[in-house]
Amino acid sequence: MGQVSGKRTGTLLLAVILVVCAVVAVAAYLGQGHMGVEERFSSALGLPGEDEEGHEQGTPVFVVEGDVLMYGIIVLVLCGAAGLVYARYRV
Amino acid sequence: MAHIHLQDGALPLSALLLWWATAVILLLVCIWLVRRRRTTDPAVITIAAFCTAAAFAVFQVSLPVFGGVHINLTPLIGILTGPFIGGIVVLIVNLLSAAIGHGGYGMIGANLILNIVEVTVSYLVFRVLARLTSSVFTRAAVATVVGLVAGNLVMIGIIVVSGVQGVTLGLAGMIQGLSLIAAVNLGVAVIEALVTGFIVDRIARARPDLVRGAS
Repeated sequence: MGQVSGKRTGTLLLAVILVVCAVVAVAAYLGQGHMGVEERFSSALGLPGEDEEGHEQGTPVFVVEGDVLMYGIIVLVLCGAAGLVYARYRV
Repeated sequence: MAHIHLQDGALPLSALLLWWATAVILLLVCIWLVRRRRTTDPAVITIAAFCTAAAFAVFQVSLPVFGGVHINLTPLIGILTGPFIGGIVVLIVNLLSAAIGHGGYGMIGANLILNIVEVTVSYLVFRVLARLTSSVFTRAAVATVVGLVAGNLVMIGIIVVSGVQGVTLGLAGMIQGLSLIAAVNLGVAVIEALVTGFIVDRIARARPDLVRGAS
C-alpha cells in the first residue's frame, strides 16, 4: 500500500516537473525564435553570427556535428572496445 | 543538456586556464577516489565502456527540436557508473568530440566542470529519491532533470564569471540571455529525462544488479 502510494507520489511529481519544464521551454523558444544552438548562444550574448554559410539557422533534420567520417570511425572503435570489455568480463 | 557552445576565442585565456585547471583537479579527485574506493568492479567498467560509446554517438547528433539541440546522456552516465568513473567518461567524450570538430579544445575544461556537476547531481538525486518512490523510471527521470538544471546553472555561472570577449552586454543582459538558453534547455531535459528513465528502468528490470540503488 505504502509502496503504491510512493509510486503515485513519484509519478505525480515527475509529471508536474516535465509539464512545467516543457511549458517554460516552449515559451522561451517562441520568445527567442527558431535558431540553432550555436546561433542561440551568439544571439543571447550579442555576438555576431558565427556562420557565414548559413547552415546554422536551425536544423530541420538529424545532423551529425563535426567531421562525419571521423565520427563514424570513432563510434566503431568505441563500440568495438565496449564489446571487447564485455567479452573480457562477461558481466 | 548543458554545453557551452562558444568558440575557443570567446572566453579570455585566463578564464580558459582557470576552468581547465579546475577540471583537472576534479578529474584527479575522481581518479584518486576510484582507486581508493576500489569501485573498479568489472560490471561498472563494462557499463562505463558502453556509456562512453553511447554518449559520444548521441552527443554529436543534432536533434530537429527547438531549432537543433543535442542530448549528452550525462545523467545516465552518473546513475549507472557513479560520479567518479562518470567524470572520466565525460572527459573521454569531450576530448573525442573536440577531435571531430564539435567544440574547441579550449572549452573542454569549462564543459567538463558542468558535465561533472550533471553526473554527480543526477547520481545523488537518483539515490536520495529511493526514499520517496520505488519507481526506477521516475527516480531516473527526475534525477536527469535536476542534474541538467544544475548543469545549466553552472554554465551560466562559468560564462558570467569568465566574461565573453567582444560582448558589450552588461551583467544583467548577459544573465538574461543565458537564462533564455537555460529555459530552452529545459525542453531538452524533458526529452533526456524520458530517454534516461526508460533506459535505467529497462536495465533495472533485466539486470537489477547493474543499477546501484535500483531497489
